[in-house]
Amino acid sequence: MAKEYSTEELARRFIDHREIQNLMGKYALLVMICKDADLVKNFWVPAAENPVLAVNNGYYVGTDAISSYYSAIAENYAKKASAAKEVFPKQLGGKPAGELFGVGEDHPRPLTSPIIEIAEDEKSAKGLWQVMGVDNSLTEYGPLSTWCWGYAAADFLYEKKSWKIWHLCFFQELVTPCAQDWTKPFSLEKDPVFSGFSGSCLPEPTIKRNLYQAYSPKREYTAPPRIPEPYRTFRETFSYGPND
Amino acid sequence: MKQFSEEERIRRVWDKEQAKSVICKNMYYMAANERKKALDSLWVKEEPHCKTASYGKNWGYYVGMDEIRRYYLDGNPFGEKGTMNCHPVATIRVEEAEDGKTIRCQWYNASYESRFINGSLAGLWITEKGNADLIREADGFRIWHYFIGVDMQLEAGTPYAAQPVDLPDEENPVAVEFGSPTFKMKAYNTRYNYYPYPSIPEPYLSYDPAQGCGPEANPNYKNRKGDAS
Repeated sequence: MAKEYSTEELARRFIDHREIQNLMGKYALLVMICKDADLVKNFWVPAAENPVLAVNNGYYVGTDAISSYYSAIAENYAKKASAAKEVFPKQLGGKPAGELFGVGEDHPRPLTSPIIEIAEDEKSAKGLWQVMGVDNSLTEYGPLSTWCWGYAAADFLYEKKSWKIWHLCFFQELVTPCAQDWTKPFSLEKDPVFSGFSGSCLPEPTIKRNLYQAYSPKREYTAPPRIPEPYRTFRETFSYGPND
Repeated sequence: MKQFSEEERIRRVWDKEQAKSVICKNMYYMAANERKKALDSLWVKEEPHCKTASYGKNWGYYVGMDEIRRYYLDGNPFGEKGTMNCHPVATIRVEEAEDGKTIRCQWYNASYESRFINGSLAGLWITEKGNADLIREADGFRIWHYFIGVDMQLEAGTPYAAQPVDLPDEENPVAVEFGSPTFKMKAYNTRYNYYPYPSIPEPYLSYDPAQGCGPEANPNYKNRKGDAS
């Protein structure tokens, strides 16, 4: 049975809701503009026990592992910016690396359908969002837009008068080039002009595990991450981090 | 509009948050294919709300929880390998009645599904105007009337221009799925997006069936053979 809150408590909890939405909104906007390298220091609780980023194929555990994941994304953008200079010498030839960083990249991650639960003790919170994402990139196939819809689910901690991420799951559900039927086989042809854009790589997760399978016609029916439920303290609810 | 006290305002703000949460949970249950759980935990439980509950789409209304279950559970096209759906809740507007007994919501879905159409799996884009009237029961706000105005459904990878204007219902997978509602009628007009039903929720005193998203508010309800075009 959910607790009955006083109006003062409700007002505070409403503000908590808004702050968590603001936090995740800022996170998503920074991902869009390729500021991945800044995410860990700005969004994760520095002193939390086992902070986690979860993606479809596993958990990055600890701020070093999470940082290595986001740093690799930033390095890939830097490499692609350098390659873009070769492909578009007229437009980009004279630009310094700092100015070129992120050229051709746009990764909107609009967050919809929020469900947020603040713990009764107000020390932690949980959130779930649907993500209407798209990756617009320069790739070995040429400029390409790829739908990247999915779900974000997170545990938050309240520390030093602000909410920060403790565990974040960012799961991709529908990954398919725009204007394709994702239920039908399709192939993309590599464009030799863009050969310099191949070879993006990410570090292996700390715990490699199939956490969420992106859609394919052969996939068994797959539910989104679990919906947060009202809870008293974090010990009494489930975690979006690894349980083992 | 009534001037609410600070305490009332806070309560009302929280009511609206709860209403949004109900609508979003419904979306996640739909995506999880937990339709029974959605009906059991989010929809009205008390009589006479159950008798007057409605679930409408462009082609009419299922009225009463038994009829809604007939559509939503018995006609569920999801669950098989390769199927999925996601109807995100965006751009939501919420208004609570001054008497605090009901809440009206409107939102927009840019949605995708994978479902079998004539035996073949197909990806679908679907854009919809979502609407709900929630009513306060003993344990909180619950869905009483739910109406989805389907503006467009299109097989993925297909140009919209290739789809016939006024797609016949029998060729429209969303219409086919909607089956045989309690009130079969043209309930939503896709030709003119300024069609007045369901209206955008505005501040209101108390629930008026003529303003909600149940069948009584539909301009074609009085003449159920009416044509919304």
